[in-house]
Amino acid sequence: MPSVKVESVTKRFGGFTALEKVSINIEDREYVSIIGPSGCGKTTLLRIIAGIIRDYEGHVYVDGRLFDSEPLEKRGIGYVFQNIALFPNMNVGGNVSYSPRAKGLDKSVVRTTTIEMLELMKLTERYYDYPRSLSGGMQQKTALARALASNARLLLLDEPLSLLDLKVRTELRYELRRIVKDLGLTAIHVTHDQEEAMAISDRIIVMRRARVVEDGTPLDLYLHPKRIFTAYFLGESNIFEGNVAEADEDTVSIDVGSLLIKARNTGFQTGERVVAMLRPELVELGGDINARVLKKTIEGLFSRIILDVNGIKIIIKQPYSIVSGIGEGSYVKIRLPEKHILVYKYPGRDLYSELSLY
Amino acid sequence: MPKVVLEKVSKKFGRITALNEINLMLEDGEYSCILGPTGSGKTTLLKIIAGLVEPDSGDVYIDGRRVTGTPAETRNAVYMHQNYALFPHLTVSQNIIFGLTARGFSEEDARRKVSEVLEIVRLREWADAYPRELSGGMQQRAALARCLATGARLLLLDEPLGALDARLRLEVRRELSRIAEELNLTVVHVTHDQSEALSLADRLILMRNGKIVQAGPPEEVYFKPNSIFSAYFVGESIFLEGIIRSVNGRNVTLELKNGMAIEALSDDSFNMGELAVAAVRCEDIEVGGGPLTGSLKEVNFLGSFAKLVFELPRGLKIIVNIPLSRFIKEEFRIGASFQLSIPREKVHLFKPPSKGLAGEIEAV
Repeated sequence: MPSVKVESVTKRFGGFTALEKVSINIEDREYVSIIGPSGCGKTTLLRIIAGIIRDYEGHVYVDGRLFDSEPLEKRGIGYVFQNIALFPNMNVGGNVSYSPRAKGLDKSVVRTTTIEMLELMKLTERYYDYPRSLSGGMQQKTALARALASNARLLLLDEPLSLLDLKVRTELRYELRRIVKDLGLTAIHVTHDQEEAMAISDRIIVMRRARVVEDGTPLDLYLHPKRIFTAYFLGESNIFEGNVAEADEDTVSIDVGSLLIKARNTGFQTGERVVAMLRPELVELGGDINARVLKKTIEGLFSRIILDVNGIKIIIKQPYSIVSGIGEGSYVKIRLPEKHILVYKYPGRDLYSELSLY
Repeated sequence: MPKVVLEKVSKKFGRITALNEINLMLEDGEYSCILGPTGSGKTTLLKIIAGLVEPDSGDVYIDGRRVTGTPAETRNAVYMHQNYALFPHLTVSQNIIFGLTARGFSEEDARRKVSEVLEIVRLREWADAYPRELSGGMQQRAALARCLATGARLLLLDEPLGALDARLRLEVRRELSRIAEELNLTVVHVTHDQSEALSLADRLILMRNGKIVQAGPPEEVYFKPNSIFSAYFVGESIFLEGIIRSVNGRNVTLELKNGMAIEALSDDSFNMGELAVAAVRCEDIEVGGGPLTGSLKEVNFLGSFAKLVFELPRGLKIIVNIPLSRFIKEEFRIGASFQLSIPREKVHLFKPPSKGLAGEIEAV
């Protein structure tokens, strides 16, 4: 069964380092997403596992077997490319049934598998259409159906839903996860859509500048990111710079300018320069901090409100019904709950380069 | 000042009706987002305003001047295509300068403008790079810079953030909003991303099949959907089909297909025995306490919120979105049963669509 191990893989294109000593482990039947800013190396990593890029340092193992010189067609991998690559001379049915036919499977099996996958992707009526007459989204769905029909146990998906309308995309991602889980497949899914990654994955790997930043379950990465970059990149966060004004065993008070922020002490000393992070959803209403409402927008499910506290901007997100009476220019009381504030050592270089996407 | 008016604008491509008698008025300085599925006509509408496509019938006015049939370059408008092509043999700054000098700017003014707009889109360090050296997202930002540099007061954007990383998309989104406000631009922005439209727009225009389904401030479209499609496409709703069993003033009872009943408020357009569809926002359904009982089937964590899928008797599925703060406080164990309630004032009642419910809410 397909577990995947990437061991210290480095890949350079000329003077450009696409991957720098990247090691990852993926369990059998795990659904893993790789996210990161464009150019971070996520697609290159996927192509190396697929066997499309052969020239690299380090090793790739699938099921414990060294794959570095394994030919493409023997890897048993279903691959969905970002730029699709359907067979232009075959209709939708021909594309989807290609792999089962190539394997010489029984005609009726080929037909059932093909129809099943087309139904899943709501493409049955497009059976006889050629790729050029399909929209980008439909081509992408055809490519997905083709990969799923190939009977591969390991799926490598490079932005497989990116060309679909958002509404279709959010529906199809749950289907995709369900199929992968039902069939017991292992999936590695590269995406720039963080919500998609959170919705679809057992585990997310965050990459930046050719390296893995960290990995974890969606909930862990969202609530307890080990790196400040993850907090910044995944979802939205309030990030405060400051100095520890007071520290005892349990709590620290951080002076962030015109505001003292209390948090649990995870090993900091008085005077230390730190960064504090709090998710906008976890800022509480009521409390003793007076804040002025600068801007209020609705953002699908939530009101996003930018507050001003003595010149410091704090973003909060609350259900519409709770903040319906709060308008721009008015004042609210908020609380920054201690237990939800994470404190990080101030990054070596500076915060700006720590948070930089590229 | 750019005020845009469309009067009974129609356009066909072969047998396909792209736009069907569109009437629209966009105020000066207004940020409008046109939202709709693929093939709803939103790009055609934008191109007609730009002058890149001529309507079969109807008229376009910009600043009170009838511009139907006039060339695109006379409209004081700039159109940005979703795959906006930069000149590959010119650097980023040369691309911008070229656009400006072509419009009659002096070389010196153009150069000053370049650093200004590159700052806005965060590409200052890439001024001398060639497009092929930029990532897709950076190319899109360079294209946006080129549009901003022209100084046109009417900005027509076709999926301008489509190629950007999610993180960057949020940032450029906020930048766009700030820039539009500061420069007092009139912006028409086509997108299929509802959260983009909701957060950016002064006016949200929802399209489908060549027609405007609903137009108004985002809050109005979100909280008062005028149709099943509107409740479906903007935000996330569940749809329950049923029959009206009692009418008592504004209070009605809807018996659902699985035999359960929910309460709703209605205007006086529903009668006893009539079929109806109830739409309820997934965040408006209350978990804990209530007449309905469901078993938790699925939990999906999405960062700001979590999506809970409940199964009720006879296959009825109810999806509830709960905020992160609640999700981490309580235990939501798969298989456990929960009480659910739907507040009557949060139910939107609609007449059953002629093509059936699936036809209205099936994503294209």
